[in-house]
Amino acid sequence: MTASRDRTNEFQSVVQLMRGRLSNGAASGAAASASEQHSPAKARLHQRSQFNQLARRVGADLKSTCAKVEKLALLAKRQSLFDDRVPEIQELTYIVRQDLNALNQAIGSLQEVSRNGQSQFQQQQQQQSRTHSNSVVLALQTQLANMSDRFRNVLETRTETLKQNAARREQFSATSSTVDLLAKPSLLAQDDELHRTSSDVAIDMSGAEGNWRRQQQALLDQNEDYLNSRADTMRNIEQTMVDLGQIFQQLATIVREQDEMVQRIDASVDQTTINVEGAHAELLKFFKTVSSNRRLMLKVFGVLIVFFVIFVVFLS
Amino acid sequence: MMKQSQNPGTGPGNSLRSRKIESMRRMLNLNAPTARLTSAGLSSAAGGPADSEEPQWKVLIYDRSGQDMISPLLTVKDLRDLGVTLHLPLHSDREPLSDVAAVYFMNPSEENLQRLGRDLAAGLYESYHLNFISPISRSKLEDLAQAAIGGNAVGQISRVVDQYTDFICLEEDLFVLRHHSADSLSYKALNRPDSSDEAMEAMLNEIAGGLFSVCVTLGAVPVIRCPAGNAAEAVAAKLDKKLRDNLRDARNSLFTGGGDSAAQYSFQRPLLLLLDRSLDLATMLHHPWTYQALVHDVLGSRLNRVELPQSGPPSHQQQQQKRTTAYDLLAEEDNFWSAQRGAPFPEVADAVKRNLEKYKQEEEKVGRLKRSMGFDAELDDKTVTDTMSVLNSAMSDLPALLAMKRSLDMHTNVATCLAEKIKARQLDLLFELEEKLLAKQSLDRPLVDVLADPEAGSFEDKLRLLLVAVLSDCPQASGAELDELLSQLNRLASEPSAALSSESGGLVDCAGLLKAAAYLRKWRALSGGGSYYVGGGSGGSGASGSGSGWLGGLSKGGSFLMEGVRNLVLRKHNLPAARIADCLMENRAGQAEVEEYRYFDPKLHRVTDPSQIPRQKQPFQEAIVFVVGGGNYIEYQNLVDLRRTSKSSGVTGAGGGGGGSGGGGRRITYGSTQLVTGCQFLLQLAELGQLT
Repeated sequence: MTASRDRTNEFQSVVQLMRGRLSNGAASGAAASASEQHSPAKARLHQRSQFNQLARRVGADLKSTCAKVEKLALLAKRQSLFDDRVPEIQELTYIVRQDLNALNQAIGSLQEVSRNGQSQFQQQQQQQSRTHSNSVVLALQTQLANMSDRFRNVLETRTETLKQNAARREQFSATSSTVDLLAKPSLLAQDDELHRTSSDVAIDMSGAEGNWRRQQQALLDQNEDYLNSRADTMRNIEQTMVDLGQIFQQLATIVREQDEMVQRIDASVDQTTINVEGAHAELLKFFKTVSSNRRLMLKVFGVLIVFFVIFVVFLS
Repeated sequence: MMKQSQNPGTGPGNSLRSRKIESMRRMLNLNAPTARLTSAGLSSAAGGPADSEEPQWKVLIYDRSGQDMISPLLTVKDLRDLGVTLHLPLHSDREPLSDVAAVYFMNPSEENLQRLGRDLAAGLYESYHLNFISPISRSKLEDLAQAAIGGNAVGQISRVVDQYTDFICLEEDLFVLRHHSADSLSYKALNRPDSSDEAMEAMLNEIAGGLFSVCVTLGAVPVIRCPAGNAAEAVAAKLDKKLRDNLRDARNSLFTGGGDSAAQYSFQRPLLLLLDRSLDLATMLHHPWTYQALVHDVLGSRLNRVELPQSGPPSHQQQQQKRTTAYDLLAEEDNFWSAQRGAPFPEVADAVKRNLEKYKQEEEKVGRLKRSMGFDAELDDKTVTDTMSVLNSAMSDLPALLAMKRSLDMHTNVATCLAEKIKARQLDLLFELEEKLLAKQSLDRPLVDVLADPEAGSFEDKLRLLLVAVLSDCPQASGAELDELLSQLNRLASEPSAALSSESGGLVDCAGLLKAAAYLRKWRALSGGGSYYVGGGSGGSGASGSGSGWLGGLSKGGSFLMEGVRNLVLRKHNLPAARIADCLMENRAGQAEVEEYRYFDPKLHRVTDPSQIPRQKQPFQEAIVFVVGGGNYIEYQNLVDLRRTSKSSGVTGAGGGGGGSGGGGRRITYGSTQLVTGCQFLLQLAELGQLT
């Protein structure tokens, strides 16, 4: 939707026109101006500080990690019981966790760089660039926090999915904790068992009991391995949550240091004038108290007179 | 033929405000052509920016007009989310930040361009993206080019864009053209007898330019209607010409752009109704009774921001140390405000109390949760996850709760302040009297008594009451009786002992203000009578309870706030502006009031005979009502009410079919050159009186 008109091309053509006019007047001037234009630009490139490069790198890393988190989210949502890509999810989780830690440290070092860089120059001259660096750091941290939040949500969904899977497995197979003699139909991975036992298991225990017990034993072993792997995953997730918690805490302290963000851009202008007037009034008052020194004179004379009296009394 | 479903052009994402925000965001994203932006509201996406490139950090530099435009729309947080790390005024000392892009947003005026030239020469930033609020002329572009060449900065100017956005958008459907430089386009400036033709032309061009920006931002070419024979007609002619020229220029037309503009898919064109302020002066002087209008008139809110004096401990306050707290009133984020801003004041007090109780209940719940958390320390798996989820939900509810508390605090303070002022100046009494005057009913108390009563409002309030009486042809205020009333006010003015300080804190030049009365008398005599509340309320006057019968409602409606303030109920009547808008939107043939209105249609190719223009026969679904010379929240609220009643009663007329089914989605946007309070308008009238 074009609610604006781009005049850049027109501007460039105007510039060409004027350059042409200038060069007609002074042929050498054009060359000089062209070369002059290059060198300040080059100087500026060199000046592009370490801070800025670091910030850009952090930004790019954040983007890639964000993409990874999105991929993880997709994977975690899959509810399928058997196509559970456990190793892939584990790996991705691990990578994302490492990335988050690395980013956290990178942002911390960025903050250090910005603080060190500013101490070289005089304080008041670099006020704006300091604000700029602080804002950059804060923006990166906010992005990191948002991403960590998303990651946490993804992990929660994963936990939910795991729990649901576990519940479903419990439904379809007997668990070790409660030997369920009200045998529900046992659903195994093999198809023939499925066919055999699906329909009429509820009451018929006598005939297939031995068979059933053996199946149950095999099932128990399988369940145990499965449960162990699930427990590992849960532990990993808990660890990740703890890490995330630390990141959030750090962020919270930093955010509290920053200003209130719901201001509008014209907020502080009036406040400054009010403060300045108040300060002026106070200064005037102080000046008045300082300049009127009647009390001071009285005190000084009083002390002098007392001394004089004592002196005279003691002498005489 | 007529669509029964809601017009796609009137969805919530297509209001003036959301479009303006979208164009601001596009500008702040450096007008990158490949970036895909969503046209959603203000909150940024939870996952961070969706671009695939590195984030771009930028510095925003604006002049006063740019500041006025951005501050109601984007908070500092929004700017940060868009990657703006610093926002600085143009005419301030700025340091070089040699590796950051700079986005300039300003008017192409002489001094701004000079300052820009100095910045370019000093090489403050890495790249410059120049955005001009109104189009920059060719000659100024050449000056800029020269400055750029002189400062060796041509390669750094990345973009020069004309953002056609020369208006300030305050609400979803309310805009003004000027705020801080409003005096150039005020009612006084437009009606001065001693202004030259060129000055007048310049002013009218400015207004037309602002309206052109509005049309471009909406992406629609409206049908223009205006009354004949005043400033509005001149503006309409200019606007018509501008739109026509732009449409003619097929290569560069601003209205046939690409992209997913929904306005292109709507078959309806909006109606742009240009009215002159002289249609209805009484509304400007009328005392308001709805919440938003009261906040504007009594507390002096500006650009959605109101400042209340803080009552600190008296020992610290010596002389004029005003400590004020400022509040932002935003309908998008504050549910209470958006629900209550059109309600009469007693309802607001009620609502504040109700919400306070609700909040206390929620707080109670959280407190209970907190207490119970400490005891459930078992590590049973189930309980832990349960507590986790409960905690999670509580955590996510907390911000909403905090926001509710903040808004309640703010509204309690504002309402208390308002109630104090209403009681001190007896604004309820004045409102009631004025309503009766405007409806041409007889008054309970003669005007003489009211004007003599020292309690009934400040001098300005009394003068406003008198002028409303004059404008509504009250028999008590014409001829000889008027002279007597004026002399009484004169006596009041010349009393040295009366504390005649206005709300704005300065002393009031009472004799000067009385000249306003003289001006109005002359004006009235010249312009003939105007009808105000014709028929006493056409759109369903409903419960027209006046104040005195409702004293019993005090205990119900009031707490500490409402003691001594009458529980007045607003009549449902239509102000002239709303009435005319209604007539024109329905577009039926043979409506007497609007027969004489001119009709402009910029999309028609050749206008051979102005009286034979083929007119659009169907009712309009969207309208923009623009008043040249000053606007008011009372009128705005009236239009909002009109839209609401028309929606509920279905769209009548040629296309409604079997009831509008709640849709029909009529949208009315209100705009003006500036928003003035009653006292400010009084001042303008007084100055006009002094000049004639």
